[in-house]
Amino acid sequence: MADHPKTPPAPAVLDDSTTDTLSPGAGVQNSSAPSTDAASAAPQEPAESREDFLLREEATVGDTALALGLNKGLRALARAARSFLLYDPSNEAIRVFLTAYRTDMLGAIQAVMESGQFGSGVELFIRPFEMVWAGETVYLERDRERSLAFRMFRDGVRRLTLRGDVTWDELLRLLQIMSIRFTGVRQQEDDIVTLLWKAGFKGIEIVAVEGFVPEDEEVGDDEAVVDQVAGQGEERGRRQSARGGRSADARTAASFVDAPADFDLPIAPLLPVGRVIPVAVDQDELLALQLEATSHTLPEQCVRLAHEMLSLVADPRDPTDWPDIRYLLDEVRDFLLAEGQLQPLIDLVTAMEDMRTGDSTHLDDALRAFVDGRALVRIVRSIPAAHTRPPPDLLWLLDHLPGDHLAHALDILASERSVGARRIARQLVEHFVDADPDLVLARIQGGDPAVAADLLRAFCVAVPARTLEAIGAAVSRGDADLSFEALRVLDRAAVSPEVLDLLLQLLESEVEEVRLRSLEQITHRNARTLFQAVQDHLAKASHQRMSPKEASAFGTTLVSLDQARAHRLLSEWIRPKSLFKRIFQDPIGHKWLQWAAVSGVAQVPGDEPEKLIRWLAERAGSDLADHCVRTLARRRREMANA
Amino acid sequence: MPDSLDPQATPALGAAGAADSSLQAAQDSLGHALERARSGEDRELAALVRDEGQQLVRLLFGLLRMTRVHAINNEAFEKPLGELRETMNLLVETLGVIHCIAVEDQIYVNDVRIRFQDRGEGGTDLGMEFRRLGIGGMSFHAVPELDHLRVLVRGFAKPPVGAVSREALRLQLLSKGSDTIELHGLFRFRVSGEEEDIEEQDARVVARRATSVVDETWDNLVGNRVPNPLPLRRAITEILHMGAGLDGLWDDPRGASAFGGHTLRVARYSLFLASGCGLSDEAVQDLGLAAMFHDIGYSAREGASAPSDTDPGQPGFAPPFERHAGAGARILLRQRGFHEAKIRRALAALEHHRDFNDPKGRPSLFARIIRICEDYDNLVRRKGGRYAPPDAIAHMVQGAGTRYDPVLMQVFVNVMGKWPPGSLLELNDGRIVRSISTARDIRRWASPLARVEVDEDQQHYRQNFPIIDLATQGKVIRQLGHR
Repeated sequence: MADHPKTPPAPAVLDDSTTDTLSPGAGVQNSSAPSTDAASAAPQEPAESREDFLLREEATVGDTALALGLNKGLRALARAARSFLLYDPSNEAIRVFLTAYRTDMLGAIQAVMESGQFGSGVELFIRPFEMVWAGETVYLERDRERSLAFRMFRDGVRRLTLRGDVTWDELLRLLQIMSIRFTGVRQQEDDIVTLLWKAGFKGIEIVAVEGFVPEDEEVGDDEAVVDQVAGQGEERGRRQSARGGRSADARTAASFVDAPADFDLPIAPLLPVGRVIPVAVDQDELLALQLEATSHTLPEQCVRLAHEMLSLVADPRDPTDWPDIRYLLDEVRDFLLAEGQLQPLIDLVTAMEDMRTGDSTHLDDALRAFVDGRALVRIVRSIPAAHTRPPPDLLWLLDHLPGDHLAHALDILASERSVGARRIARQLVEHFVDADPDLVLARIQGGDPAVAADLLRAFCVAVPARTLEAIGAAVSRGDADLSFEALRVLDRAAVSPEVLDLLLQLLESEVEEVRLRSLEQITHRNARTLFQAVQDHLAKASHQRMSPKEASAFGTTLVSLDQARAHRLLSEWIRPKSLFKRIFQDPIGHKWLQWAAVSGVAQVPGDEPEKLIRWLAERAGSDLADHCVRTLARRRREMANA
Repeated sequence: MPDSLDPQATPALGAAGAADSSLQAAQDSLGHALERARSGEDRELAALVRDEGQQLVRLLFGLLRMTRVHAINNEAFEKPLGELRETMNLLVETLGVIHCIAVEDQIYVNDVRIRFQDRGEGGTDLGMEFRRLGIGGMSFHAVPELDHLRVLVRGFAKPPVGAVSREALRLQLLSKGSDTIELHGLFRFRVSGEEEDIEEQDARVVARRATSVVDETWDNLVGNRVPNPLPLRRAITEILHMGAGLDGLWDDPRGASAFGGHTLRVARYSLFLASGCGLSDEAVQDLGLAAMFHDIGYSAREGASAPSDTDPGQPGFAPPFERHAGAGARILLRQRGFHEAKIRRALAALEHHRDFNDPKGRPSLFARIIRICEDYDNLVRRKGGRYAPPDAIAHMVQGAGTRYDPVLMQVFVNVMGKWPPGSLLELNDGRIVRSISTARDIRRWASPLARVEVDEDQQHYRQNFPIIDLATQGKVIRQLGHR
C-alpha cells in the first residue's frame, strides 16, 4: 500500500429516506433513477422484474487490471448476497453465484497478493455507495437496495481488509453475514458487529462502528450519562451506598428493587482443604470441552433445557407454568425440525408425554404443533435425497402425536416439487390414508393431476380394496400422468371385467402412448371378449388421428385376441370381397384399417397372409406399399429364425 | 477447493473437480445460517421499537419546531404532548428505559436505528435541534409528567424562553422536580480498534460500565420486561477487548452494587477459565453473557400481581435460593426467537448450582464453568465467606469430581495461580502486597504481579500503589488473613 495514498473513509452522509423495507422495484425509485418528468418523457420501457433488478450487474469500475479484478470479486459477493432475496437457499441458482464468488474473489485477492505491491492484504474503505482500494473505486452502486457498500456502511462497517491468507471458509462466512443483512433479518441477539466479531476471522479484518462515544472527552459530571448511553447502561444512580446496595436517591427511574442482600447465601458446606498445585491438563480433555461448546451439542442441550423446564412446570412448588415455556418448546421444535434432528425431537416428545396428567390441554396443544403442516414440510425437506423411505423415527413421531397428518402429507405432495420430498410425502399418505380414504379419493378426482398420480399410487397400495374405484376416478380425468399411473397399477391387477373395462376406457385417451400401453395390456391378458370392442375402437380411430405405429398395434392386438376371427376380418380389410367396397371405401379410414390388417395378418402363419400382403403392396399407395414390403421382409426373417 | 491463497494450496483455483461437493456444503451451510438467523428474529419487538420509535422522534421533533411559531402555553401543544406521552408509555412498558440518541446523522431508539421515508419527518433534523443545546440524546427512565415534558419542549424555544445549554435545561427540569429525563452530551461513532490505546484506568471504566448494564438489566427484569442481551454482550466484548485478566478488571468496580459486582466478577472468572480451556471466541463471548445473567433469577417476583383500576397490585418477593436458578431460566426464556446462546445461557442459569455428579446428569459446560466461578466468588466476597482467595481454592479442589468438573477445576487452579488476585501477602522484606494478576504462565504460577499496600517502612498506601512483579522481587513468607 506504500505506493498508494490511503483514501480515508468519507464522512457519513446518508439521508433519512433509507428504509429496510425491501419491496419489488423499490430500488428503481432511488436517487440515481431519473426524475419522474424525465422518466415520463422517455419512451416507455418494460418494467424491470424483481429478479432482473436484483441480479443486474453493478457498474464495472477500476482503472487497472487488479482493480477490475477486485471489482469483479465484489460484484460477485454482492450478487451472491442478494440472490438469497430471490431464491430458496437450496436453489441451483445460488450455486452458480457461489461459484462465481469463489472464483472471482479468490482470484482477485491472489492477483493483488502476487503483485507484491500492496502489503499483506486488500484494504477496502467502505463509503456509502462505493468501496475504495488503493485510491481506486473498485465497487460502485448507488441503489440502496442493491448496494453492498451501502449495506455495509449503514451497518457501521468502515474498513474491510481481506488478507492474503484469507480462506474460502472465511469468505463464505463473510457472505453469510452479508446475506443475513440483505435478507433483512434483524436478530435480537446479535448485531452485525457482534456477528463479525464472533466469526473470529483470521484472514479478514474489519473496522466497524461499535457504539457511541462522547464527542467531548471532558465529560466531567456527565461521565455517568455518557457511560450509560455508550450502549452500556445507566451509571448515574449507581452510587453505592455504604454496604453494597444502590442509593435510591440517585436513581432516576421510578421503580427500585435491589437484589436480596443474602443472594446465594448461605454458602455450601465447606470441604476439607486440599492441595493446590498446577498440573498440565491433557489436550484430549481440553478438546472434549471445546467440542462441548460447539453447535454439535446444541440439539441435546435444547432437549435438556426443555425437559428441565417441563419438570419445573410439573413441580407444584415452582411458579413456572405452561405459558412460560411455550415459546421455548416452539423454538426448540422448529430448530430440531430445521436441522432434521428427529431423535432429539422424539426425546422431547417423550419427555412431554411423560408429563401427561389429568388435564393435558396445554400438553396436547403443544404436541399438536410439533408436527403441524409447516413442521412436516421441514422434516420432509430435511430427509436426505438418498433416503427412499420415511425414517422410522418420523413415523414413530407422527404415530405418537395428535394432528391431521394425512392432510399435511397431502399438502406437501401438492406443494413440493423435489422428487425426494414427494416420494416421502407419498409414502406418508400411504401410511395415513386409512384415516380418511375419501379425502384422498377426492384429491385424485379433483386435485392437480401430477399430484393425483402420486396419490393414486399411494391409495392403491394402502387401500387395495378400492383400487379400481380410484383408477376409475383417475381414468375419467383423461390426464396423461394419471392414465400412466392407472396403467401401472392395472398391470399388476388380476384380470376382471372391471379391469378390462378400464383398459378399454384408456383406449379413449388422447395420448397415443396411453392407448398403445393399454393395447399391450389387453394383448397380455388375452382378453378375447374384448375383440369386438378393440375392433370398434380401431374402426373409430381410423377416421381420427392415428399413427402407423398405433394402427399396427391394433392389428397385432386383434390377432393376439382371436387369430381366426382376426384373420377373416383383416383379410376382408386388405382385399374386400365386394367390388363395391373396393371402389367406394373411405380412402383415409380404410388406409389405416389396411395398415393394421397388414401388421396383423403378418402374425398369422401360412401362405395366405403373404399373398394378401403382396396383393396389397402392388395396389396401395406408396406409404402403405412400403409398409407391406417391410412387413413381408420382417415376417420372412422371423419365420426363418423360427 | 482452494482453502487459502497460498499458490501451492490453490493449484485449481478455477477448476471444478471436487468443488461441487464443497460448494454444495457451502450452500447448505448458508441456508442453515439464514434459517438460524430468521429463527432468532423477534419481528414483533423490532417492529414495535421501529414504529413507536419513529413516532416518538416525529412527535418530539414536531413539538420542538412548534416552539418557533407558537407561544409555549398555546393549546396547540396539548394534543401532540398527549400523543408523545402515549407513545412513551408503550415504549417504557416494553423497554423499561427509552434511550433516544442522535449520533452524526442517525437516530437510535434503544439501539434500533430509526429510519424515515421522507425528509421533514424529523430524522436527522431532530439531531440538529438537539445539537443546538449541545445535546446528543435523551433517556426517559419513566413516562415524564406532562408538565415536565412542557419544560423539556420549552427548553428548545429561542431564548429568552428557551434554555441556552444542556446544563441550563437540565437545571430547569430539576427545578420542576423532573428526575426521569436525562440529557446526554454529543456523540460520535466509535469504531473498532480505538480500544487498543485504552490504559489501565479505562479498564476500571469498562468494569463500571459493565456493572451499570447489569444493574439496568436487573431493573428491567424486575419490571417484568423482556431481557435484552445486546448491551451485556457489548459489555462482554469490551471486556474481552481489554483482556479479561487485566488487573483493573479484578477490582471491585466503583459504585457497583454487591449484586452487580458479584455478577461481573463471576463473568470475568468465567471468561478467564474459558480462555484457559481454549474455547472459541464465540463460545467465550456467549459464556460471558451467560455468566452476566446467571443470577438474574433473583429479580423474579413470586406472587407479584399487576396493578389495576381497583387493585394497586402486589410487588411480590424474590425467589429463595433453591428457586432462583429456575426463575433465571424462566426470565431468560421471555426473550423471543431461537438462538444458540439463549439456550446455553438459560441452561446455565438453570444448572449453575448443580453438582458435577448430579443424579440428573452432568450439567452443561457453561453451568459447570459458572459453578466453579460462582462458588469461588461466594467464598471470597465481602458478604459471602470472606475467605482469602488461596484458602477458597484450597477448599474447592477437594470437590473436583463431585461438585466440580475435575478438568475445569484444574484449569481454574492453573489460571488463577497460587496467589489469586486479591490475595494479601507478606514479603520477606516486610512489605505487604496484594496480588493483582492471575498466573501468567506455569513458571510464574506462584509469582503474580502485586501492588504494594504497606512498604518496608510500614507506610500504608491509599492510592498510586507501586506495582511489583513477584517473579523478580520479593519472597512471600505468608499469606495474611481474610480478604
